[in-house]
Amino acid sequence: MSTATTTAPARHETSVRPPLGCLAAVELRKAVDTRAGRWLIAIFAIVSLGVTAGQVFTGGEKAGSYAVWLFFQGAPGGLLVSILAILTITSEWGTRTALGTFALVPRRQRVLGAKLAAVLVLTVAAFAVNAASTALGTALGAVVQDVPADWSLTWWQVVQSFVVLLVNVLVGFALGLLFLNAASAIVVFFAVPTLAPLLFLLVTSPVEVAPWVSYIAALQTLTPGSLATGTQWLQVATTSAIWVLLPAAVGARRVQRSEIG
Amino acid sequence: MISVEHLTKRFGTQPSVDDASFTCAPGTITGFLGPNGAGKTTTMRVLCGLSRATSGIATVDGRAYVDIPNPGRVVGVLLDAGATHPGRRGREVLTLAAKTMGVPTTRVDDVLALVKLTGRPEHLRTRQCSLGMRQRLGLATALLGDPKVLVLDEPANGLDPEGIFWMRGLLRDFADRGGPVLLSSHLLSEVEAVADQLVVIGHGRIAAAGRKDELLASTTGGLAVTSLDDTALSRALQADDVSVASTRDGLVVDAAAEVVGRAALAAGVVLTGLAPSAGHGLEELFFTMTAGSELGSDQASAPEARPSMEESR
Repeated sequence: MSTATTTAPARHETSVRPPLGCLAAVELRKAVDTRAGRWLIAIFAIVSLGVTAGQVFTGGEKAGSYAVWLFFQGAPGGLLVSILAILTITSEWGTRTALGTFALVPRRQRVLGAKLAAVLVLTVAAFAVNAASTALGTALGAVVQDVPADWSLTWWQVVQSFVVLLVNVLVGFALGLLFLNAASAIVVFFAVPTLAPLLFLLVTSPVEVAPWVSYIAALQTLTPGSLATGTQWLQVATTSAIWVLLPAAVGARRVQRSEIG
Repeated sequence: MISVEHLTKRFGTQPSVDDASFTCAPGTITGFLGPNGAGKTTTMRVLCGLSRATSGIATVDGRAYVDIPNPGRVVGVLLDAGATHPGRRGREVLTLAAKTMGVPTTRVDDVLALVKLTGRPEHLRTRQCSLGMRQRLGLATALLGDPKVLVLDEPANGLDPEGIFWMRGLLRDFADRGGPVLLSSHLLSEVEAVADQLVVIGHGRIAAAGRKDELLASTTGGLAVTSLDDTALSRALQADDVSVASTRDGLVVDAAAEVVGRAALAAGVVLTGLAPSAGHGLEELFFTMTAGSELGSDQASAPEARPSMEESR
Protein backbone atom coordinates (compact mmCIF):
# COMPACT_ATOMS: atom_id res chain seq x y z
CA MET A 1 0.00 0.00 0.00
CA SER A 2 1.53 3.24 -1.05
CA THR A 3 0.70 6.69 -2.18
CA ALA A 4 1.61 5.71 -5.71
CA THR A 5 -1.17 3.17 -5.95
CA THR A 6 -3.87 5.36 -4.47
CA THR A 7 -3.23 8.14 -6.94
CA ALA A 8 -4.81 7.70 -10.34
CA PRO A 9 -2.35 7.99 -13.20
CA ALA A 10 -4.20 10.96 -14.60
CA ARG A 11 -7.20 12.93 -13.56
CA HIS A 12 -9.90 12.65 -16.17
CA GLU A 13 -12.61 15.10 -16.95
CA THR A 14 -14.61 15.37 -13.74
CA SER A 15 -16.93 18.23 -14.56
CA VAL A 16 -18.85 16.50 -17.33
CA ARG A 17 -21.89 14.37 -16.73
CA PRO A 18 -21.55 10.82 -17.96
CA PRO A 19 -23.20 10.90 -21.41
CA LEU A 20 -26.54 9.10 -21.74
CA GLY A 21 -25.13 6.72 -24.34
CA CYS A 22 -22.49 5.63 -21.88
CA LEU A 23 -25.10 5.12 -19.16
CA ALA A 24 -27.28 3.16 -21.59
CA ALA A 25 -24.32 0.91 -22.44
CA VAL A 26 -23.80 0.28 -18.72
CA GLU A 27 -27.49 -0.53 -18.27
CA LEU A 28 -27.40 -2.88 -21.23
CA ARG A 29 -24.43 -4.65 -19.71
CA LYS A 30 -26.22 -4.87 -16.36
CA ALA A 31 -29.23 -6.45 -18.06
CA VAL A 32 -27.16 -9.31 -19.42
CA ASP A 33 -24.26 -9.78 -16.97
CA THR A 34 -26.22 -11.82 -14.43
CA ARG A 35 -27.46 -15.39 -14.58
CA ALA A 36 -31.08 -14.24 -14.57
CA GLY A 37 -30.43 -12.07 -17.60
CA ARG A 38 -28.57 -14.78 -19.47
CA TRP A 39 -31.25 -17.36 -18.74
CA LEU A 40 -33.97 -15.07 -20.03
CA ILE A 41 -32.04 -14.51 -23.22
CA ALA A 42 -31.46 -18.25 -23.59
CA ILE A 43 -35.16 -18.96 -23.02
CA PHE A 44 -36.06 -16.21 -25.46
CA ALA A 45 -33.92 -17.92 -28.11
CA ILE A 46 -35.52 -21.28 -27.33
CA VAL A 47 -39.05 -19.81 -27.53
CA SER A 48 -38.21 -18.12 -30.79
CA LEU A 49 -36.98 -21.43 -32.18
CA GLY A 50 -40.08 -23.12 -30.73
CA VAL A 51 -42.33 -20.81 -32.73
CA THR A 52 -40.16 -21.59 -35.73
CA ALA A 53 -40.66 -25.32 -35.13
CA GLY A 54 -44.40 -24.64 -35.06
CA GLN A 55 -44.06 -22.85 -38.38
CA VAL A 56 -42.13 -25.72 -39.91
CA PHE A 57 -44.20 -28.65 -38.65
CA THR A 58 -47.71 -27.29 -38.06
CA GLY A 59 -47.73 -24.29 -40.37
CA GLY A 60 -49.64 -26.08 -43.11
CA GLU A 61 -50.11 -23.98 -46.19
CA LYS A 62 -48.88 -20.86 -44.30
CA ALA A 63 -45.57 -22.48 -43.34
CA GLY A 64 -43.83 -20.68 -46.17
CA SER A 65 -45.15 -17.25 -45.29
CA TYR A 66 -42.41 -15.08 -43.81
CA ALA A 67 -44.64 -12.11 -42.94
CA VAL A 68 -47.22 -14.19 -41.05
CA TRP A 69 -44.69 -15.93 -38.85
CA LEU A 70 -42.61 -12.87 -38.16
CA PHE A 71 -45.79 -11.40 -36.73
CA PHE A 72 -46.53 -14.48 -34.61
CA GLN A 73 -43.06 -14.34 -33.08
CA GLY A 74 -43.87 -11.03 -31.43
CA ALA A 75 -46.08 -12.00 -28.49
CA PRO A 76 -44.23 -15.03 -27.02
CA GLY A 77 -40.82 -13.43 -27.44
CA GLY A 78 -42.22 -10.18 -26.08
CA LEU A 79 -43.12 -11.88 -22.81
CA LEU A 80 -39.51 -12.85 -22.11
CA VAL A 81 -38.00 -9.53 -23.12
CA SER A 82 -40.68 -7.96 -20.92
CA ILE A 83 -39.43 -9.89 -17.91
CA LEU A 84 -35.94 -8.71 -18.73
CA ALA A 85 -37.30 -5.15 -18.88
CA ILE A 86 -39.02 -5.62 -15.52
CA LEU A 87 -35.82 -6.95 -13.95
CA THR A 88 -33.77 -4.10 -15.39
CA ILE A 89 -35.72 -1.83 -13.09
CA THR A 90 -36.64 -4.02 -10.14
CA SER A 91 -33.28 -5.70 -9.55
CA GLU A 92 -31.90 -2.31 -8.51
CA TRP A 93 -34.39 -2.32 -5.65
CA GLY A 94 -34.39 -6.05 -5.00
CA THR A 95 -30.64 -6.18 -4.55
CA ARG A 96 -30.40 -2.56 -3.37
CA THR A 97 -27.84 -1.73 -6.03
CA ALA A 98 -29.94 1.42 -6.53
CA LEU A 99 -27.85 2.84 -3.70
CA GLY A 100 -24.66 2.66 -5.74
CA THR A 101 -26.33 3.46 -9.05
CA PHE A 102 -27.91 6.68 -7.84
CA ALA A 103 -24.81 7.64 -5.87
CA LEU A 104 -22.95 7.67 -9.20
CA VAL A 105 -25.82 9.23 -11.16
CA PRO A 106 -27.83 11.35 -8.75
CA ARG A 107 -30.14 12.65 -11.47
CA ARG A 108 -32.35 9.62 -11.24
CA GLN A 109 -34.35 10.26 -14.40
CA ARG A 110 -31.13 9.89 -16.39
CA VAL A 111 -30.75 6.38 -15.03
CA LEU A 112 -34.33 5.58 -15.98
CA GLY A 113 -33.77 7.05 -19.44
CA ALA A 114 -30.64 4.93 -19.84
CA LYS A 115 -32.58 1.84 -18.75
CA LEU A 116 -35.30 2.59 -21.29
CA ALA A 117 -32.69 2.99 -24.00
CA ALA A 118 -31.11 -0.33 -23.02
CA VAL A 119 -34.51 -2.02 -23.12
CA LEU A 120 -35.19 -0.60 -26.57
CA VAL A 121 -31.86 -1.93 -27.80
CA LEU A 122 -32.77 -5.35 -26.40
CA THR A 123 -36.16 -5.15 -28.13
CA VAL A 124 -34.58 -4.39 -31.48
CA ALA A 125 -32.07 -7.21 -30.94
CA ALA A 126 -34.93 -9.57 -30.06
CA PHE A 127 -36.75 -8.53 -33.21
CA ALA A 128 -33.63 -9.28 -35.23
CA VAL A 129 -33.46 -12.76 -33.67
CA ASN A 130 -37.14 -13.26 -34.51
CA ALA A 131 -36.48 -12.18 -38.07
CA ALA A 132 -33.58 -14.60 -38.45
CA SER A 133 -35.44 -17.45 -36.80
CA THR A 134 -38.48 -16.82 -39.02
CA ALA A 135 -36.25 -16.88 -42.09
CA LEU A 136 -35.03 -20.30 -41.04
CA GLY A 137 -38.64 -21.39 -40.44
CA THR A 138 -39.79 -20.10 -43.81
CA ALA A 139 -37.05 -21.90 -45.71
CA LEU A 140 -37.55 -25.18 -43.84
CA GLY A 141 -41.35 -24.83 -43.66
CA ALA A 142 -41.65 -24.46 -47.41
CA VAL A 143 -39.73 -27.71 -47.86
CA VAL A 144 -41.34 -29.71 -45.04
CA GLN A 145 -44.90 -28.65 -45.84
CA ASP A 146 -44.22 -28.61 -49.57
CA VAL A 147 -45.55 -25.11 -50.13
CA PRO A 148 -43.95 -22.19 -51.97
CA ALA A 149 -41.84 -19.90 -49.80
CA ASP A 150 -43.33 -16.41 -49.70
CA TRP A 151 -40.71 -13.89 -48.67
CA SER A 152 -42.81 -10.83 -49.44
CA LEU A 153 -42.84 -8.31 -46.64
CA THR A 154 -44.36 -4.84 -46.63
CA TRP A 155 -43.30 -1.96 -44.39
CA TRP A 156 -46.50 -2.13 -42.36
CA GLN A 157 -46.04 -5.83 -41.72
CA VAL A 158 -42.63 -5.05 -40.24
CA VAL A 159 -44.08 -2.20 -38.19
CA GLN A 160 -47.01 -4.23 -36.89
CA SER A 161 -44.79 -7.17 -36.02
CA PHE A 162 -42.44 -4.85 -34.14
CA VAL A 163 -45.28 -3.03 -32.40
CA VAL A 164 -46.62 -6.28 -30.92
CA LEU A 165 -43.17 -7.00 -29.46
CA LEU A 166 -42.51 -3.42 -28.39
CA VAL A 167 -45.80 -2.78 -26.59
CA ASN A 168 -45.38 -5.99 -24.59
CA VAL A 169 -41.88 -4.97 -23.56
CA LEU A 170 -42.85 -1.41 -22.67
CA VAL A 171 -45.74 -2.60 -20.52
CA GLY A 172 -43.25 -4.77 -18.63
CA PHE A 173 -40.87 -1.84 -18.23
CA ALA A 174 -43.66 0.42 -16.99
CA LEU A 175 -45.01 -2.14 -14.52
CA GLY A 176 -41.49 -2.71 -13.18
CA LEU A 177 -41.18 1.02 -12.66
CA LEU A 178 -44.59 1.20 -11.01
CA PHE A 179 -44.00 -1.61 -8.52
CA LEU A 180 -40.19 -1.55 -8.14
CA ASN A 181 -40.63 -5.17 -7.19
CA ALA A 182 -40.11 -8.08 -9.56
CA ALA A 183 -42.71 -10.40 -8.06
CA SER A 184 -45.56 -7.86 -8.16
CA ALA A 185 -44.68 -6.62 -11.61
CA ILE A 186 -44.40 -10.10 -13.12
CA VAL A 187 -47.60 -11.33 -11.48
CA VAL A 188 -49.56 -8.34 -12.73
CA PHE A 189 -47.94 -8.62 -16.14
CA PHE A 190 -49.08 -12.22 -16.52
CA ALA A 191 -52.38 -11.94 -14.65
CA VAL A 192 -53.65 -9.16 -16.89
CA PRO A 193 -53.93 -11.20 -20.10
CA THR A 194 -55.66 -13.99 -18.16
CA LEU A 195 -58.07 -11.88 -16.18
CA ALA A 196 -58.85 -9.12 -18.64
CA PRO A 197 -61.04 -11.25 -20.96
CA LEU A 198 -63.02 -12.49 -17.96
CA LEU A 199 -63.67 -8.94 -16.83
CA PHE A 200 -64.80 -7.89 -20.26
CA LEU A 201 -67.35 -10.72 -20.34
CA LEU A 202 -69.14 -8.80 -17.59
CA VAL A 203 -69.28 -5.61 -19.63
CA THR A 204 -72.17 -5.18 -21.99
CA SER A 205 -71.80 -2.25 -24.27
CA PRO A 206 -72.76 -1.37 -27.85
CA VAL A 207 -69.12 -0.54 -28.51
CA GLU A 208 -66.58 -3.22 -27.87
CA VAL A 209 -64.73 -1.87 -24.84
CA ALA A 210 -61.84 -4.31 -24.53
CA PRO A 211 -59.61 -3.07 -27.37
CA TRP A 212 -59.83 0.45 -25.96
CA VAL A 213 -58.65 -0.46 -22.46
CA SER A 214 -56.72 -3.71 -22.74
CA TYR A 215 -53.47 -3.55 -24.66
CA ILE A 216 -53.72 -7.31 -25.15
CA ALA A 217 -57.10 -6.96 -26.82
CA ALA A 218 -55.88 -4.04 -28.90
CA LEU A 219 -52.86 -6.00 -30.14
CA GLN A 220 -55.05 -9.03 -30.83
CA THR A 221 -57.05 -7.07 -33.38
CA LEU A 222 -53.88 -6.67 -35.44
CA THR A 223 -53.27 -9.36 -38.03
CA PRO A 224 -50.31 -10.15 -40.23
CA GLY A 225 -52.54 -10.09 -43.28
CA SER A 226 -53.87 -6.54 -43.26
CA LEU A 227 -52.76 -3.02 -42.53
CA ALA A 228 -54.31 -1.84 -39.29
CA THR A 229 -57.06 0.76 -39.59
CA GLY A 230 -56.97 4.19 -38.01
CA THR A 231 -59.24 2.91 -35.27
CA GLN A 232 -56.89 0.04 -34.54
CA TRP A 233 -53.88 2.36 -34.30
CA LEU A 234 -55.89 4.61 -32.01
CA GLN A 235 -56.69 1.62 -29.82
CA VAL A 236 -53.02 0.67 -29.65
CA ALA A 237 -52.26 4.28 -28.72
CA THR A 238 -54.90 4.58 -26.00
CA THR A 239 -54.12 1.22 -24.44
CA SER A 240 -50.41 2.09 -24.53
CA ALA A 241 -51.20 5.32 -22.74
CA ILE A 242 -53.06 3.39 -20.06
CA TRP A 243 -50.59 0.54 -19.69
CA VAL A 244 -47.28 2.22 -20.50
CA LEU A 245 -47.40 5.98 -20.02
CA LEU A 246 -49.54 6.02 -16.91
CA PRO A 247 -47.66 3.44 -14.83
CA ALA A 248 -44.31 4.71 -16.12
CA ALA A 249 -45.17 8.30 -15.16
CA VAL A 250 -46.38 7.30 -11.71
CA GLY A 251 -43.35 5.04 -11.24
CA ALA A 252 -40.83 7.61 -12.47
CA ARG A 253 -42.28 10.21 -10.14
CA ARG A 254 -42.07 7.78 -7.27
CA VAL A 255 -38.44 6.96 -8.08
CA GLN A 256 -37.67 10.66 -8.27
CA ARG A 257 -39.09 11.34 -4.84
CA SER A 258 -38.38 8.17 -2.94
CA GLU A 259 -35.73 7.48 -0.40
CA ILE A 260 -33.07 5.22 -1.82
CA GLY A 261 -31.72 2.71 0.61
CA MET B 1 -14.90 19.84 2.21
CA ILE B 2 -18.17 18.46 3.55
CA SER B 3 -20.67 20.80 5.12
CA VAL B 4 -23.92 19.97 6.85
CA GLU B 5 -25.99 22.93 7.97
CA HIS B 6 -29.10 22.70 10.14
CA LEU B 7 -30.02 19.43 8.54
CA THR B 8 -33.36 17.99 9.57
CA LYS B 9 -34.89 14.84 8.18
CA ARG B 10 -38.27 13.64 9.35
CA PHE B 11 -39.95 10.38 8.53
CA GLY B 12 -43.55 11.17 9.36
CA THR B 13 -43.38 13.19 12.53
CA GLN B 14 -40.36 11.40 13.92
CA PRO B 15 -37.16 13.34 13.25
CA SER B 16 -34.39 10.99 12.26
CA VAL B 17 -31.94 13.86 12.06
CA ASP B 18 -32.71 17.00 14.00
CA ASP B 19 -30.98 20.28 13.15
CA ALA B 20 -27.56 18.73 12.64
CA SER B 21 -24.60 20.92 11.66
CA PHE B 22 -20.96 20.03 11.19
CA THR B 23 -18.15 20.37 8.69
CA CYS B 24 -15.31 18.15 7.59
CA ALA B 25 -12.23 20.12 6.63
CA PRO B 26 -9.78 19.07 3.91
CA GLY B 27 -7.03 16.86 5.23
CA THR B 28 -8.95 15.64 8.23
CA ILE B 29 -10.70 12.42 9.11
CA THR B 30 -13.99 12.95 10.86
CA GLY B 31 -15.38 10.15 12.94
CA PHE B 32 -19.18 10.20 12.87
CA LEU B 33 -20.17 8.40 16.02
CA GLY B 34 -23.44 7.23 17.37
CA PRO B 35 -25.38 4.11 18.24
CA ASN B 36 -27.51 2.32 15.70
CA GLY B 37 -30.54 4.38 14.78
CA ALA B 38 -28.99 7.66 15.90
CA GLY B 39 -29.19 9.22 12.45
CA LYS B 40 -25.72 8.59 11.00
CA THR B 41 -26.89 6.69 7.97
CA THR B 42 -29.76 9.08 7.29
CA THR B 43 -27.36 12.03 7.43
CA MET B 44 -24.99 10.33 5.01
CA ARG B 45 -27.78 9.40 2.60
CA VAL B 46 -29.04 12.97 2.56
CA LEU B 47 -25.46 14.11 2.01
CA CYS B 48 -25.24 11.79 -1.02
CA GLY B 49 -28.52 12.85 -2.56
CA LEU B 50 -30.26 9.54 -1.89
CA SER B 51 -32.67 11.03 0.59
CA ARG B 52 -34.15 14.48 0.60
CA ALA B 53 -33.66 16.73 3.62
CA THR B 54 -36.82 18.03 5.26
CA SER B 55 -34.86 21.23 5.84
CA GLY B 56 -31.26 22.35 5.92
CA ILE B 57 -28.41 21.96 3.49
CA ALA B 58 -25.72 19.38 2.94
CA THR B 59 -22.91 20.09 0.49
CA VAL B 60 -19.85 18.30 -0.75
CA ASP B 61 -17.06 20.28 -2.34
CA GLY B 62 -19.27 23.36 -2.14
CA ARG B 63 -22.22 21.90 -4.04
CA ALA B 64 -25.30 19.88 -3.34
CA TYR B 65 -24.48 16.30 -4.27
CA VAL B 66 -27.10 16.15 -7.03
CA ASP B 67 -25.44 19.17 -8.68
CA ILE B 68 -22.10 17.40 -9.02
CA PRO B 69 -21.92 16.41 -12.70
CA ASN B 70 -19.94 13.23 -12.21
CA PRO B 71 -19.99 12.51 -8.48
CA GLY B 72 -17.94 9.32 -8.70
CA ARG B 73 -14.95 11.48 -9.64
CA VAL B 74 -15.41 13.84 -6.72
CA VAL B 75 -16.83 11.85 -3.82
CA GLY B 76 -16.01 8.27 -2.97
CA VAL B 77 -19.09 6.79 -1.38
CA LEU B 78 -19.54 3.57 0.55
CA LEU B 79 -22.97 3.47 2.13
CA ASP B 80 -23.71 -0.23 2.37
CA ALA B 81 -21.28 -2.93 1.36
CA GLY B 82 -24.16 -5.40 1.24
CA ALA B 83 -25.93 -3.49 -1.52
CA THR B 84 -24.39 -5.36 -4.42
CA HIS B 85 -26.03 -7.76 -6.85
CA PRO B 86 -25.33 -11.20 -5.35
CA GLY B 87 -24.77 -12.68 -8.79
CA ARG B 88 -22.15 -10.19 -9.99
CA ARG B 89 -18.47 -10.82 -9.56
CA GLY B 90 -16.35 -8.27 -7.75
CA ARG B 91 -14.50 -7.27 -10.87
CA GLU B 92 -17.78 -6.81 -12.76
CA VAL B 93 -19.16 -4.54 -10.02
CA LEU B 94 -16.08 -2.34 -10.36
CA THR B 95 -16.12 -2.44 -14.15
CA LEU B 96 -19.73 -1.21 -14.22
CA ALA B 97 -18.85 1.63 -11.86
CA ALA B 98 -15.75 2.52 -13.91
CA LYS B 99 -17.77 2.68 -17.11
CA THR B 100 -20.44 4.78 -15.44
CA MET B 101 -17.99 7.39 -14.19
CA GLY B 102 -15.84 7.18 -17.30
CA VAL B 103 -12.52 6.07 -15.85
CA PRO B 104 -10.33 3.61 -17.75
CA THR B 105 -10.84 0.00 -16.74
CA THR B 106 -7.16 -0.15 -15.76
CA ARG B 107 -8.32 1.70 -12.66
CA VAL B 108 -10.22 -1.46 -11.74
CA ASP B 109 -6.93 -3.33 -11.50
CA ASP B 110 -5.42 -0.48 -9.50
CA VAL B 111 -8.12 -0.43 -6.86
CA LEU B 112 -8.38 -4.22 -6.70
CA ALA B 113 -4.67 -4.28 -5.86
CA LEU B 114 -5.15 -1.43 -3.41
CA VAL B 115 -7.82 -3.27 -1.41
CA LYS B 116 -6.02 -6.59 -1.85
CA LEU B 117 -8.74 -8.42 -3.72
CA THR B 118 -6.60 -9.29 -6.74
CA GLY B 119 -6.72 -12.89 -7.89
CA ARG B 120 -9.40 -15.31 -6.79
CA PRO B 121 -11.50 -12.87 -4.72
CA GLU B 122 -12.16 -10.54 -7.67
CA HIS B 123 -13.77 -13.42 -9.57
CA LEU B 124 -16.13 -14.46 -6.79
CA ARG B 125 -19.79 -13.60 -7.04
CA THR B 126 -20.57 -11.17 -4.26
CA ARG B 127 -22.92 -13.65 -2.59
CA GLN B 128 -19.86 -15.83 -2.05
CA CYS B 129 -17.88 -12.98 -0.51
CA SER B 130 -17.47 -12.50 3.21
CA LEU B 131 -18.65 -9.22 4.69
CA GLY B 132 -15.02 -8.18 5.01
CA MET B 133 -14.44 -8.81 1.30
CA ARG B 134 -17.57 -6.86 0.41
CA GLN B 135 -16.34 -3.97 2.55
CA ARG B 136 -13.06 -4.02 0.62
CA LEU B 137 -15.00 -4.13 -2.63
CA GLY B 138 -17.09 -1.18 -1.44
CA LEU B 139 -13.94 0.75 -0.55
CA ALA B 140 -12.51 -0.11 -3.96
CA THR B 141 -15.66 1.28 -5.61
CA ALA B 142 -15.37 4.43 -3.51
CA LEU B 143 -11.72 4.94 -4.50
CA LEU B 144 -12.23 4.04 -8.16
CA GLY B 145 -12.83 7.56 -9.44
CA ASP B 146 -9.83 8.98 -7.57
CA PRO B 147 -12.17 11.21 -5.56
CA LYS B 148 -11.34 14.28 -3.51
CA VAL B 149 -13.68 13.38 -0.67
CA LEU B 150 -14.63 10.11 1.03
CA VAL B 151 -17.96 9.34 2.69
CA LEU B 152 -17.98 5.91 4.31
CA ASP B 153 -20.79 4.43 6.38
CA GLU B 154 -19.51 1.83 8.83
CA PRO B 155 -16.58 0.82 6.62
CA ALA B 156 -14.94 -1.24 9.35
CA ASN B 157 -17.93 -3.55 9.75
CA GLY B 158 -16.84 -7.09 9.09
CA LEU B 159 -13.17 -6.27 8.72
CA ASP B 160 -10.78 -8.27 10.85
CA PRO B 161 -8.32 -6.40 13.10
CA GLU B 162 -5.69 -6.54 10.38
CA GLY B 163 -8.21 -5.17 7.89
CA ILE B 164 -9.12 -2.34 10.23
CA PHE B 165 -5.46 -1.49 10.69
CA TRP B 166 -4.97 -1.54 6.93
CA MET B 167 -8.01 0.67 6.37
CA ARG B 168 -6.74 3.21 8.91
CA GLY B 169 -3.51 3.53 6.98
CA LEU B 170 -5.42 3.95 3.76
CA LEU B 171 -7.69 6.66 5.16
CA ARG B 172 -4.80 8.46 6.85
CA ASP B 173 -2.95 8.44 3.57
CA PHE B 174 -6.01 9.79 1.77
CA ALA B 175 -6.51 12.57 4.32
CA ASP B 176 -2.83 13.48 4.33
CA ARG B 177 -3.11 14.20 0.63
CA GLY B 178 -5.81 16.76 1.43
CA GLY B 179 -9.02 14.79 1.15
CA PRO B 180 -11.63 15.12 3.85
CA VAL B 181 -12.93 11.79 5.09
CA LEU B 182 -16.23 11.27 6.86
CA LEU B 183 -16.55 7.85 8.36
CA SER B 184 -19.25 6.62 10.64
CA SER B 185 -19.14 3.98 13.28
CA HIS B 186 -21.10 2.83 16.28
CA LEU B 187 -17.88 1.66 17.87
CA LEU B 188 -15.79 4.34 19.49
CA SER B 189 -12.64 2.25 19.44
CA GLU B 190 -12.77 1.90 15.65
CA VAL B 191 -12.77 5.63 15.12
CA GLU B 192 -10.73 6.89 18.05
CA ALA B 193 -7.42 5.71 16.61
CA VAL B 194 -7.83 7.31 13.21
CA ALA B 195 -10.08 10.36 13.51
CA ASP B 196 -8.87 13.94 13.90
CA GLN B 197 -12.31 15.23 14.52
CA LEU B 198 -15.37 13.70 16.10
CA VAL B 199 -19.04 14.31 15.56
CA VAL B 200 -21.19 12.47 18.07
CA ILE B 201 -24.84 12.03 17.22
CA GLY B 202 -27.64 10.67 19.37
CA HIS B 203 -31.39 10.80 18.76
CA GLY B 204 -30.68 12.66 15.55
CA ARG B 205 -29.03 15.56 17.35
CA ILE B 206 -25.37 16.40 17.31
CA ALA B 207 -24.36 15.84 20.90
CA ALA B 208 -20.75 16.91 20.53
CA ALA B 209 -18.45 17.94 17.73
CA GLY B 210 -14.90 19.13 17.59
CA ARG B 211 -11.27 18.13 17.50
CA LYS B 212 -10.72 14.77 19.10
CA ASP B 213 -8.06 15.99 21.55
CA GLU B 214 -10.17 18.97 22.62
CA LEU B 215 -13.20 16.78 23.12
CA LEU B 216 -11.07 14.42 25.14
CA ALA B 217 -9.72 17.26 27.26
CA SER B 218 -13.12 18.80 27.86
CA THR B 219 -14.60 15.53 28.89
CA THR B 220 -11.76 14.47 31.13
CA GLY B 221 -13.41 13.34 34.31
CA GLY B 222 -10.66 14.79 36.51
CA LEU B 223 -8.06 12.48 37.95
CA ALA B 224 -8.04 8.77 38.36
CA VAL B 225 -6.65 8.14 41.82
CA THR B 226 -5.69 4.91 43.52
CA SER B 227 -4.33 4.57 47.02
CA LEU B 228 -3.80 2.00 49.77
CA ASP B 229 -6.90 3.34 51.55
CA ASP B 230 -9.43 4.79 49.13
CA THR B 231 -12.09 5.14 51.80
CA ALA B 232 -9.95 7.36 54.04
CA LEU B 233 -8.72 9.42 51.08
CA SER B 234 -12.25 9.88 49.80
CA ARG B 235 -13.36 11.11 53.24
CA ALA B 236 -10.41 13.52 53.44
CA LEU B 237 -11.15 14.94 49.98
CA GLN B 238 -14.84 15.35 50.69
CA ALA B 239 -13.95 17.22 53.86
CA ASP B 240 -12.12 19.67 51.59
CA ASP B 241 -15.27 20.04 49.45
CA VAL B 242 -13.72 18.15 46.53
CA SER B 243 -16.10 16.02 44.53
CA VAL B 244 -15.12 12.38 44.51
CA ALA B 245 -16.60 9.41 42.75
CA SER B 246 -15.84 5.83 43.51
CA THR B 247 -15.21 3.48 40.63
CA ARG B 248 -14.24 -0.15 40.41
CA ASP B 249 -10.64 0.85 39.81
CA GLY B 250 -10.35 3.51 42.48
CA LEU B 251 -11.47 7.14 42.73
CA VAL B 252 -12.21 9.79 40.16
CA VAL B 253 -11.50 13.18 41.63
CA ASP B 254 -12.43 16.52 40.18
CA ALA B 255 -9.45 18.51 41.39
CA ALA B 256 -5.84 19.27 40.63
CA ALA B 257 -3.16 16.71 41.44
CA GLU B 258 -1.73 18.98 44.12
CA VAL B 259 -5.03 19.05 46.01
CA VAL B 260 -5.19 15.28 46.01
CA GLY B 261 -1.56 15.01 47.08
CA ARG B 262 -2.03 17.37 50.00
CA ALA B 263 -5.20 15.61 51.11
CA ALA B 264 -3.36 12.28 51.02
CA LEU B 265 -0.45 13.70 52.97
CA ALA B 266 -2.76 15.16 55.58
CA ALA B 267 -4.74 11.95 55.92
CA GLY B 268 -1.62 9.82 55.91
CA VAL B 269 -2.75 7.71 52.97
CA VAL B 270 -0.22 6.28 50.51
CA LEU B 271 -1.05 7.20 46.89
CA THR B 272 -0.39 4.47 44.36
CA GLY B 273 -1.73 6.15 41.24
CA LEU B 274 -2.51 9.66 40.09
CA ALA B 275 -3.34 10.27 36.43
CA PRO B 276 -5.79 12.10 34.20
CA SER B 277 -8.73 9.85 33.52
CA ALA B 278 -8.78 10.91 29.89
CA GLY B 279 -8.85 7.38 28.58
CA HIS B 280 -12.43 6.95 29.64
CA GLY B 281 -13.60 10.45 28.91
CA LEU B 282 -14.57 9.91 25.34
CA GLU B 283 -16.26 6.65 26.06
CA GLU B 284 -18.28 8.27 28.82
CA LEU B 285 -19.17 11.14 26.54
CA PHE B 286 -20.25 8.67 23.92
CA PHE B 287 -22.43 6.75 26.32
CA THR B 288 -24.00 9.67 28.13
CA MET B 289 -24.69 11.71 25.03
CA THR B 290 -26.07 8.96 22.94
CA ALA B 291 -27.64 6.77 25.56
CA GLY B 292 -31.05 5.35 24.77
CA SER B 293 -30.83 5.76 21.02
CA GLU B 294 -30.43 2.09 20.45
CA LEU B 295 -33.92 1.46 21.70
CA GLY B 296 -35.19 2.56 18.32
CA SER B 297 -38.98 2.47 18.14
CA ASP B 298 -39.14 2.09 21.89
CA GLN B 299 -37.99 5.66 22.30
CA ALA B 300 -40.73 6.66 24.70
CA SER B 301 -39.17 4.55 27.40
CA ALA B 302 -35.63 5.58 26.58
CA PRO B 303 -35.21 8.28 29.22
CA GLU B 304 -35.95 5.81 32.00
CA ALA B 305 -33.53 3.32 30.57
CA ARG B 306 -30.57 5.63 31.02
CA PRO B 307 -31.10 8.43 33.52
CA SER B 308 -27.92 10.18 32.45
CA MET B 309 -29.54 11.02 29.13
CA GLU B 310 -31.66 13.69 30.77
CA GLU B 311 -28.54 15.74 31.38
CA SER B 312 -27.49 15.64 27.79
CA ARG B 313 -30.74 17.11 26.58
